[in-house]
Amino acid sequence: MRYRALTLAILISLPVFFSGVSDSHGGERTFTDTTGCTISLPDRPLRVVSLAPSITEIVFALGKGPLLVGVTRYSDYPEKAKMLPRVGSYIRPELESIVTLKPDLCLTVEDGPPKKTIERLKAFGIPVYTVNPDSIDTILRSIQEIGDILDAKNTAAAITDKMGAQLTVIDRAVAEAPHKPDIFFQIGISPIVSVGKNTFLDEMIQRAGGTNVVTSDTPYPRFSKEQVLALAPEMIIITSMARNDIFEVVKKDWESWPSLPAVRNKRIHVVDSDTLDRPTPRVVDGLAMLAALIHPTLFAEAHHE
Amino acid sequence: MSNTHFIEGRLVQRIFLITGLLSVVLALAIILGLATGPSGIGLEPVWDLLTGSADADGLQNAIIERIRLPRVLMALFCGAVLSLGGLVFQALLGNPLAEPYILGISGGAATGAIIGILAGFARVPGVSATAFAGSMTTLFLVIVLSKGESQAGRDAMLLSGVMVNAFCSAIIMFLISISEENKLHDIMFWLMGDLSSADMPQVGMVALLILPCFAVIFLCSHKMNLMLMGREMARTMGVSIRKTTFILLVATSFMVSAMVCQSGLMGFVGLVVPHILRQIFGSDHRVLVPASIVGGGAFMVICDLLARWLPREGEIPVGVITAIIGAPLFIMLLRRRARS
Amino acid sequence: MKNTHKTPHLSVAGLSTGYGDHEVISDISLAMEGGSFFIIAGPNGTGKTTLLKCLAGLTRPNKGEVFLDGSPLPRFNRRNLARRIAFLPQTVETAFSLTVREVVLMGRAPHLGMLGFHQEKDTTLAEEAMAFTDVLHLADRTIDALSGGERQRVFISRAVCQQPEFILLDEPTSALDLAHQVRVMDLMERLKRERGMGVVMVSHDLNLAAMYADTLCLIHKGQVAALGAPSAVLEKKQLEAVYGCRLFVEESQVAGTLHVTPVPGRVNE
Repeated sequence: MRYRALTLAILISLPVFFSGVSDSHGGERTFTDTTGCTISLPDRPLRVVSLAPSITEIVFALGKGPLLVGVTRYSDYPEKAKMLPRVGSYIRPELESIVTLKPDLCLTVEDGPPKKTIERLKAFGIPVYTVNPDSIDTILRSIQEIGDILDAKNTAAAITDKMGAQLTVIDRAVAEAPHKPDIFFQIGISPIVSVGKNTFLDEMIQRAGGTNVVTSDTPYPRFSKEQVLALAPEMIIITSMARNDIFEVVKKDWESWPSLPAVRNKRIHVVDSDTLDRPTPRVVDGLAMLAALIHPTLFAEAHHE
Repeated sequence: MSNTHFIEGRLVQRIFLITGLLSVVLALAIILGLATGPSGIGLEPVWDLLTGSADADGLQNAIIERIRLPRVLMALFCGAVLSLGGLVFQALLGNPLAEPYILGISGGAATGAIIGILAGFARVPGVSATAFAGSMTTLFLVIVLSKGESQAGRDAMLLSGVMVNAFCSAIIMFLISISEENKLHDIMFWLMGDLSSADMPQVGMVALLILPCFAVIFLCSHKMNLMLMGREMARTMGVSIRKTTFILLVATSFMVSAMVCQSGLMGFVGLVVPHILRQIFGSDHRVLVPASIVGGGAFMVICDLLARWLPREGEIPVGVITAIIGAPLFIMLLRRRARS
Repeated sequence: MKNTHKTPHLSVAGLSTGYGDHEVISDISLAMEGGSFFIIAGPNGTGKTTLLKCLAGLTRPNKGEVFLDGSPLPRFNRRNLARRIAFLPQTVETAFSLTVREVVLMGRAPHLGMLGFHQEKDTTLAEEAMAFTDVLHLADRTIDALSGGERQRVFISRAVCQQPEFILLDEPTSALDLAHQVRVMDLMERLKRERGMGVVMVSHDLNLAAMYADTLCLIHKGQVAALGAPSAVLEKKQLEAVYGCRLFVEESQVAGTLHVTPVPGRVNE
C-alpha cells in the first residue's frame, strides 16, 4: 500500500503531460485494441472521455462512472450521464472540448468519429482506445476490454457472466422453436429502410429465433411498399429512436394491406430501439424482448421487460 | 481617384490605406477568433501567447496554435477566395449576381466529393482530390460549351455554368438517393461547409495553391476595370479579351476549387462581400482585389467565430451564419443605393 | 502630341465580310485621313456598323484587309492599335457604376502599364479632355446618373484621352436630343480641326452629315453607292434609289449645305 502511494506521489508531481509522446509519464499498463493501436496508461484514477453513448453506459455499468470527465451528446443512460460535460457528438466530437478536459484516455467505437479527429487527439498525446462491438460476442468482449482498462475486471466478468447466462436461456428456448417466422425489420419510415445480412440487427433477429426476409448485402437497403409486399413477411417489427404516434400511423398503414401475412397474423409490432442497437449490457435485455415478441409462447415464463 | 467614395487620394495611397484599414479589422477578427472556444471568448490566453508570457498555460497555447489557429486561417482563406472569386466573376460576366460557384464549380466539386465519399475515400486527400477533379471537369465543360467570344460570349458562359450546375444537382440528388445512412452524414457535412477538420499542413497546402492566384488576379485588375464597360470597349482599349478571360477564369476557378475541396460549400460570401466593398470603396478593381482578399477574410473569420460562440452547445454551420449576416447587409446596401 | 510626318491614313481594300453564309459587306474599298471628317451613311442593315467594326479592328473581315498607314491591322499589337484608334459603340454597358473621372481616365489605359497606374500627366490630360467636352463639372458623379447627352460627352472625353489618330463612332447622335446632336458634331469638328484627328462616323442623319462631313460615303446593300463631298453625294435620284422612298433635296437656309427631307406618302408632289 505504501509503495503504491509513493508511486502515486511521484507520478502526480510530474509536470502536466502535454507533449506528443505518450509514454513519458511512467505509464505502467499497456493495452492493444482491435485496430492494433497500443496505449499506455498510468496506474492511477484516470480521467476518461467517452466518445459514444454506448461506452458511457458500459462505464457506468462497470461502476466507473466517476472516472468520466466528458461524454458525447446523446449519452443519456443512465440518468447520471446527462449531467456530464458534453464534447460534441458521436460522429463529430469536438477536439477542443476534449483537449481542454485533459483526459488520460479516450474510449471510442470503430466507425464512429472521423479518423482525422482520432489522429489529432493522438497528436495531442491523448491515448485513444477503440472497441469494435459489431456482434453480440464482440459486445461482450468490449465490456471485458473496458473493464480491463478501467481496473474493473471483476465487475466486467460479473456482467458478462450474467449476460452469458441470459443468452444461454434464450438460445435454448429458441432452439426448440418449431418455426422461425419471416420477419421484416423496419428501421426507416420514409423511405422504408430495413437491415441486411451483415448487420448487428440481423444477428439479433436470428438469435431471437426469427428469419430476416431481407438477405441483401447492403447493410441498410431501401424498399418500396411493393417490394415489402412481395417479400410477404409473417411479422413486421418497426423500431424507433423514441416512442412516437407516428409509428401507430405506420402500423395502421400496413394493416391496410390484408394480403400481408403479418397483417393476417396480427403481428405488427413497434419497439423501442434503445436496447436493440446500442452495444451495451442492456442488449441482452433487448434480445430477450425481441425473442419474447417473436415466440411469445416459449417465453411466457422467462419474460424480461 | 474618386471623391464620392470613402478614402480619397492617389491610387497607390488609396490601395495601401484601404488594405491597411481592412487588415486591422482582419487582425482584430483573428485575435477574437483565436480567443473563441467552446466555453466562450477568453482573450487572456491569446494575449499570453502573443506576448510570450512565461506563465502561459501550455495546454491553452497548444489549443490555440493547433486547433484554433488552423481553423481561423482556413476561414480567412475561405473568405478571401470566395470574395475575390465573386468579384472576378462579377466583372468577367458583367453581372452583379455572379458568384464564385456560378460557372459550375460548386456542382462539379460537390459531385466529385460525393463520389469520393461513396467510394470510401478519406476526406483528405481522397475526397479533396475527387472534388477538385470534379470542379475542373465542369470548368472545362463550361469553357468548351461557351466557346467563342462573340457578343453573346458572356451570356453563353453564364448559361453554360447554370446548366452545368443544374445537371450536377441532378446527379447529386441521384447519388444521395442511392447512398446509405452513414455515408449520408458525411455528404451532408461536406455540403454544408466545414472548417473544423483543418490542420496546419492542410492550411499550408491551401496557401500554396491560392496565393499565386491572388497575384495573377491582381495583375489583371486594371483589365477588369476596362471590361466593366463591355467587351468591345475593353478590346478597343487594348485588352485581349480572350487571353484575359481565360487567365482570370482559370486562376479564379482553380483557387475556388482548391478552397471548396478543403472546406465544402459556403454560400453568400462571394456574392455579398464584393458588393459591400464596392459600395464603400468604389469600382476600381486595383483597390477591390486586395480589399476583397483582406475584407472577405475578415468577414469569414468573424462568421466562423460567431458560429462557434453563439450556440450553447456545438457549433452552427458557418454557411448559415454567412447567410444570416450577409442577406440583411446586402438588402441594407441596396436600399441605401436606391435612395442616393 | 502627334509626331507624324505624314498624315495618318486608314483604308480598306476589297473588304468583304458577313455572318456565316450571309455576306453583309461586299468588296468595299475606302480611304480616310487624319484631320478629316468621314461619314458613312445608308439605310439600316446595310452593314455600316460591321464596316466600322472592321475599321476599328474589332472584327476580322472574311476577305480583304484594313490598313493603318499601309500596314494591315492584324500586324498591330492590340495596345498599339488602341493608341491610334479609338472606338465608341452605339451603346455602352454599364453594369456597375463608375464615376465620370474613372471612365475618362480609362482612356489612358493603352498608354499605361499593366496595372494602369496613372501619373500627373494623365490626370491633367483627363481633366483637359473633360473640359473639352464640358463634363468637368460632372467629374465626380456616377455615370448612370447622367443624361444620355452627358453620358455621350463623357465617352467622347474618354476617347480624347486615348489621344488617338482616328476616332470611330457608331451612330453617336441617334439617341440624343437636338441640342446634344449638334454639340457632339461640333466636338468632332473641333477634334478634327484642333487636334488633327480623323473622325469616322456612322450616321443615319443625312442633314447633319451634310453640315459636317468632308467626305460622305453612301452604303447600299453592302456596297459603296456613292463617295465624295456631301454636295455630290446628296443627289435626289441617287438617294431615292438607295433609300427607296421619295425625297426632297434643297439648299439649307442655315448652313448653306444641302438638306434632305423625306416626302410623306400622302403628299402629292
